[in-house]
Parts: sequence; C-alpha cells; structure tokens
Amino acid sequence: MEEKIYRFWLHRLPGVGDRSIEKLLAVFGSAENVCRAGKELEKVLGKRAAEEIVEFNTTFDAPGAYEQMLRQKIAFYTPQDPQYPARLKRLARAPYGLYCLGALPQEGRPAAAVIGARECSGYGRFVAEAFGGGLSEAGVSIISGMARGIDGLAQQAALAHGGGTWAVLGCGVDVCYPACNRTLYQEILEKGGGILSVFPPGTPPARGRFPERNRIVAGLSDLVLVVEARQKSGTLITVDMALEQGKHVYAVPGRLTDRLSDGCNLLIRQGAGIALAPSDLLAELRILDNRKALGGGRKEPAGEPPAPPQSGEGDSREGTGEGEELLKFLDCDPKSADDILRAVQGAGISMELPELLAELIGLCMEGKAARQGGSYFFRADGSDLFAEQPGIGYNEKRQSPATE
Amino acid sequence: MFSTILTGSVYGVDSRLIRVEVDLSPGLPCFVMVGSPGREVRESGERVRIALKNSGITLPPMHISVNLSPADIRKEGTGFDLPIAVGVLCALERLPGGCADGMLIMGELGLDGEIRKIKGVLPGAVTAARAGIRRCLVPEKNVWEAAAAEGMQAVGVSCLEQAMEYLKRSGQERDRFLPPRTVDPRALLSPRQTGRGGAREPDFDQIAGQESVKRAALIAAAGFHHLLIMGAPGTGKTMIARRLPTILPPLTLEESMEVSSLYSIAGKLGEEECLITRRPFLSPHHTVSPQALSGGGRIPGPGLVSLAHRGILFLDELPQFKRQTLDLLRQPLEDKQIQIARTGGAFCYPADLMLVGAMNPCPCGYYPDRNRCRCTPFERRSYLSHISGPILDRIDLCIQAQKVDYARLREGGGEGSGSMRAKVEQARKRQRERYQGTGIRFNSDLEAGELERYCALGEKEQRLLERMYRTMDLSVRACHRLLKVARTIADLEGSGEIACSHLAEASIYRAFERPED
Repeated sequence: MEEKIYRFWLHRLPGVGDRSIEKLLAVFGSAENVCRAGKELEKVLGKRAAEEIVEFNTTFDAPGAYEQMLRQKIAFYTPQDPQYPARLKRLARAPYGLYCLGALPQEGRPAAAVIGARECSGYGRFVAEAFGGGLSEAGVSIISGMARGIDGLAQQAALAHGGGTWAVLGCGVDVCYPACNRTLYQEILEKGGGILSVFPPGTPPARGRFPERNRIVAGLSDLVLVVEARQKSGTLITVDMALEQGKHVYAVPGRLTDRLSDGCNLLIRQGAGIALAPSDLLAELRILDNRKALGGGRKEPAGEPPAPPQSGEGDSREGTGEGEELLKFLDCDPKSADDILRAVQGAGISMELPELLAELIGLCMEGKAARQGGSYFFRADGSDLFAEQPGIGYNEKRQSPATE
Repeated sequence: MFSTILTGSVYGVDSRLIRVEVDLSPGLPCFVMVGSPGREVRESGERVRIALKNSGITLPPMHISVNLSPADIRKEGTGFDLPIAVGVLCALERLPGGCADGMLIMGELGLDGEIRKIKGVLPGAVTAARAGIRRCLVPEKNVWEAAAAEGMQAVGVSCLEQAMEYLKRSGQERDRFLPPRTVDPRALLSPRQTGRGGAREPDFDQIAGQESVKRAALIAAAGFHHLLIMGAPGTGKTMIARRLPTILPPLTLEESMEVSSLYSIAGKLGEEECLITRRPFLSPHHTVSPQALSGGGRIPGPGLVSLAHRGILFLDELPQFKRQTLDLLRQPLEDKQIQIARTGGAFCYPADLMLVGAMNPCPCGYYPDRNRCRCTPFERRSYLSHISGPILDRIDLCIQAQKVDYARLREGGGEGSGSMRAKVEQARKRQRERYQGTGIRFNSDLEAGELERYCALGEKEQRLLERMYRTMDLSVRACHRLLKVARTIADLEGSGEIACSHLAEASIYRAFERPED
C-alpha cells in the first residue's frame, strides 16, 4: 500500500482531526507507521479513540475507497504532496487533507476571494458580476464558496470573462450544494477551474462545516473582497479568518439605508479597503503594471444573450424607439410597473400603463431588462449604471483600451 | 273524507310539485304517513296534530293516512306541515272542499299553530308557476321570494287560524282579507333599484395608486378570469378585491333567479328580500371546512362555492387555506358546477364563480424588498407550494400589489368604478356578439381547441408569441392563458384583432413564478 493511501486512511479516521493527526505524525513519523502502531495509539489518543480506530479498521477498506475516489476523478492532497497549495501550507493550521475535483489553483496567479450574502440585492448582483468579471479578465483567480447569491454570481461572471475560478465547498466535492448552482459546478470543471473541500467525498453539507470552508476560501486567496453583507453575516466569518491569516480585506461601500450593505460599511469603518473598481484590488495585487501583458481588451462576455435577428427587430415591437428611453427609468433593483409609470409620466412622457407594459416586455425579450414577480422590472445589464469617471466602478476598465 | 293539496319539495337546485293526499277513514285512531317521507317529514304528523289542537281543532279518533305523491322520491324538509294540516282540515270538512285547488301551499308549523319560515320557497314557486299555478300560500316571512316567481300571486300567512280563515273565504273576499302580493322582478333589477344610495359604497376611486392591480381587476372583470393578487401586508389587496363587484355588470334576471334560488334553498334569503339583485361576494375565512366550501351534509345543501355562483369567491391569505380545501375548487373552476354525493343523494349545484385570491409573496410578506425580507428561495418556494398547481393553472391573471408611497396616497384615487364598469360592459358586449350561439360566455371559458378560432393571430403577433414562448419559458398551458387574457385586453380596447401590445401586456400577469432555487 502506498504512503498516499495511508495518508488517506489517516484523514478518514473517525474522531481524529487535524490536531490529532499532527500529534500522531509527530510521534510515529509517517501515516504508514501510524497504521502499524496498533496498541501504541492509545498513548497518543487515549484508550477509547484507539479502540474506535480498531473498530473502524475492520469495516473501512482504505485502498478500495481510495480507488473509488480516483475513479470519480477526485484527487487527494496532504501538505506532504508537492502539489499541495502553497498558500494553504502557510496557514497556521494547514488542513491535513484536501480533496480536489478538477484542477488546483495556479500558484503563480494572484487569487482574490469574492464573497457576500446569499440573498443579495440587484445592486449586489451587478457589483459581484462587475468585480468577478473585471478581476478575472485581469488574470486573477476568483475563489469563493459557490453559494447562492454573491459567491455564485461572481464565479459565474469570472467564467463568462474567460478566467479561472475555484469553489471551496462545505461538503464533499462530489456533492453539489446548493443544487441551484449545478450548472455553475459543471462549468467550473469544464473551464479548467476546480472544486475543493477538506471534507471527504460524500459528506453532506452541515452548518458546522462552513466556518472551516470559509477559512480555506480566505486561505487560498491573496485578498478578500466583500460585496454585500448584513451586519450579522456568515460572510464576516470569512473576513475574520482572512484578518487572522494577515490578508487584506476590501469592501464595496453601499447606501446607509440598505441593510445588505451594513456589513460592508462597518468593515470600511474598521479599516477595510474601499473597493470602487476592480483596479483598486489589482493595485493591491501588484499586477496593475502588467495589465497590458494580461490583455486589456475587453472580451465580449460569453453569457450575453444573442442579439435578436435584425429582420424581426423593427416589427416585433409595437412602439419602436421608446424602449431605449425607458431603460433610463430602470435600476438594478426591481421597480414595480406602477413606479416606472409614475417616473415616466413625471418626466413628461405621456404614456399609459398598457403601452408601458408592452414596451417593458419588449425590453425583456431583447435581454436588456428582466423582471421578477410578473410586474417588477430591473436592468439585465448594469455595466452602464456605473459612474462615467475613470477610476470608479466597472467603467474604468471599459474605457481603458481607448485611452491606451 | 279525502283531499289533495299541492306543495313543492327541493331536489338539488330544482323543485318538484308534490301532491299531498289525505284520507280519513274509520279504524284504529292513528296518523300514518307514506310516500317516502324523510325524517323531518315524518315528524310533521306530530306537529300537525298538536298545531291543530292548539288552534282549536281536535282530530277525531280516526285512521288518518297521508300520502306524498309521487311516492318514489324521497321527501325532505319541513315545508310539508302546512299542506298536510290543510289537507286534514279539508278531509275533515272543516274547510270547504276544493278551497285549495290550483294553489301551492308550503310552510312549517309550530306547536302553537304559528307558520314559520322555510327553505326553498322560490324554486318551489317558480316550478309551480311554470306548471300554470298562479297562487300560493306560504309563510309570511317567505312571501316576497314567492312573489318573485313570474306570474305568481303570493299570499303570506303567519298562523294556522289565519290560513283557515283565508281558505274559508271565496274569491273576492279572500283578496280583501289578505291581498296577494306580486312583484315585477325586472323592476327589481333596474339600476334605480339596485342603485346605491345613502352611505358611501365601495368604489375604485377610493384606491390610490395600484394602477397595475386595478388594470388587472378590470381585465378579470371583463373576461371573468380568475385573479390572484400578491403583495405585502397592507398594500390594499383586500380593498381591491372588495371593489370588484362594483365593476361587474349587474345580474340579469335569469342570473338573479339562479342565484336567488340557491340562496332560498340554503335559507339565506332575507325576509324582505325577493331576489338577490347584487352579485354575490363571499370571503370565507381560511379555516373554512371543505364541506362548508363545497356544500354537503347528510342531505346535501349548497356550499360557499355555489352561493358565490355568478359572483366572486374571495379567498384572502390563500396559502393559509388547507390544501385539501383548495383542491376542492378544482371541479367548480373546471366545470362551473359541483357534484356532491352523500347518503341522502347526489346533487349537482351550479358554481360559476370568479375566484379572487390574495396572498403574501413570501412568509414574511415583504419580498422583493431585500431590506425587510430575508426569506430564502427555499422558504418562498415552500410557502407558495401550499397552492397546488392545478388551482394555479386555472387562474389566468396574477398580479403583484406594491406598497404605495405617501405622496401618491395624498393624490387620491384614480379611475372610479363607474367608468371601469362601462369598459367592462363594452368588453362583455363584444364577447356576447362573438360567442353568440356557441355556449361560450366569456373569454375565460375558451377551450384549447377554440383558441385557434377566436384568438387568431396575425403573422407579426404569431412571431411575437413564438418569441415569448421561447424567451419566457412558457408552458403550453401558460401560452393558452396568455392568449385568453390578450383576447380580453383586445376586447377592452375595442379591437377585433389581438395586437402585439395586447400580447405583451397579457404576459405581465404571470406574477406567480416559482422561485428558481
């Protein structure tokens, strides 16, 4: 049996965590020796734990399980392996076992964690997409937890902009949680990213596993960006972990009246970096100078809906021309048709509700707007909502090719 | 020593004429009732005997036989007391023979001889009038509903002695003693009569903002579509639903008769009320039992779905209703009637109603306001899943009500019920013309096969629908619903063809989407 399988066996032992493994290895030297130690284990772990291990050994077929895992294309790494991520090795407590589906994060590339609330707002959605996309385009690996909301959106945007992204899960790497991100999970693997976890394959998600997941998210990144978080949020656990690990934390400012921005605003007060544009983070990552080399030209995002056929364009919409005008009245957060109507009428455009609805539906079908709950509308693409001045928001990036 | 009296008994929504035959013959003194009498009818003998005694008439020790003909159908209800008593009096020759010929007699007796209110007088009187009977003797408290039957002269009596006094007299004297009452039902339904005077009635002009919900209500009323209003607490969902009857066209005579008959059978017609002249609006609490909603009991009676016939059944807090209760609405929404089978028989009651539901969009009620709502998609999904798919499939219109800001509130209401009702009536007129002789009444009645014919689309519209079908991920059924609603919108605008703008607007009314995880 190879040493690797012994290590795998060691990591799977019940009631033996990273700390116990450290102690065992200090006493016995290698995983193989631990396995052969037999009665000796009692000295380190105590009688009960040792008995449990004996019990476990009678049922657990380590080579079989390892074989099975390899068939699932899941790799297993310990700090002894040369491939083991250097960033994790530097942690105060490097996780002994790391399971990986797909590739490991590239060592030479800068990595940023983009994290935030699961139930995010429209604003959070646009910001996550802008930063995820912008950073990824500049060659930064995006590390996140593949959760609903900010995490998943940022990773999705990273993929759409052709960059790599890595998801750290709080369950086995073969368990897709949350299920709604199934397509993202697949896409990460297809596009050269990876799914990582410190929990063995098949482990179901559980509340207690997420802090450890968050520690790894922070550990794999060079800095952490918080897009949207409530005052009491799981996201802030990741932030604490990152600060403990000595990493810089950035937060996207929000309005004081938005509860979903409270967490970010408080972080800023406590001294977090203020992220107004992806370039703020790129400077921190010291790669701004190399941007040209990394390709400054903006690529068309792959996820954008195909343009409608030119022939059908003119006649499939009733009132032409007005639609573009209407886009001005839409925001990143859903606005009800009644509110839009009032705003439109307030701006001196004479329009009745049925007409307005027809126009809005037209915009939705062109992919410029989207709707929620039937009669609430919002922008599908928020990139032009960011400020025009260079240096703020996503537009700073878009303008750069022209100025160069 | 033999007499025959005509009376009526209710079967489901119809009534049948029953002949009460009474014979007195020498033999062991007893009171025998034959002809499938139900329990209440069997008890009738005892009430008649004592009521007669207390009215000063002692029954002779004779063998009294009562037959209810036709004998093969089961008789239920308490309306047989008075005809039996009159029959006995005629057979005893205390009343002149033939004094009750050509007359319908119904009523319940108290032990003191009082004549009490009964259920089902209106359908009884209608059936009798159709059979050519022109006069009826009914409890005083039911006299107006009996008079509402076309061509019926109704005489109301309040005690047995009064009834005897009336029957003893002949022709002219009778009318002087108790003048018969007649009612012209058409006059009752004239706008002046149903018009609202006095206290301020609910009206749509009292609602500030909520333009899109009002618009949805208008469309629902025009095409008799079922409507679901979603919105945060306090956004006026209930207010709008309560104002829906004010924009529906008034009941026609035929409709009023149907509705009034149901109310009469359920015993819910007021004393002074001849006919139900306003569209019913029922809003049962969410704890309503399935039986109360569907109708039931050992001998089935109409339930809330039938009492809302031709009107509105408003279910506030829709997800709070038990799933079992809601699923019961499937048959009425599909067939416009409800079939109830109990040990006492199987009956079919009409239930052509407009379902209006109101609900919160999520458990806390504030979605999509992210500052207040922290419900996860899972929570929202499980909340919405209280309403089963088959019910939702039958709701054509679904709209989200939003909180109205204060500035808008101060501006006051918009369009009033009057002008909205005029629009509805225009749209209804178009539908009547289009569907003449087809049995279809409203756009909402259209079946999939008929859509092709009545909701034909031009080439441009066809292309738009195709695009919607693809981009909005519509199901075939949702597509049909969209067409029906578009048809109604076109009718409201007075357009013969469905245009692109109609289709686009119709697609808005699909607020009920299951959250995508």
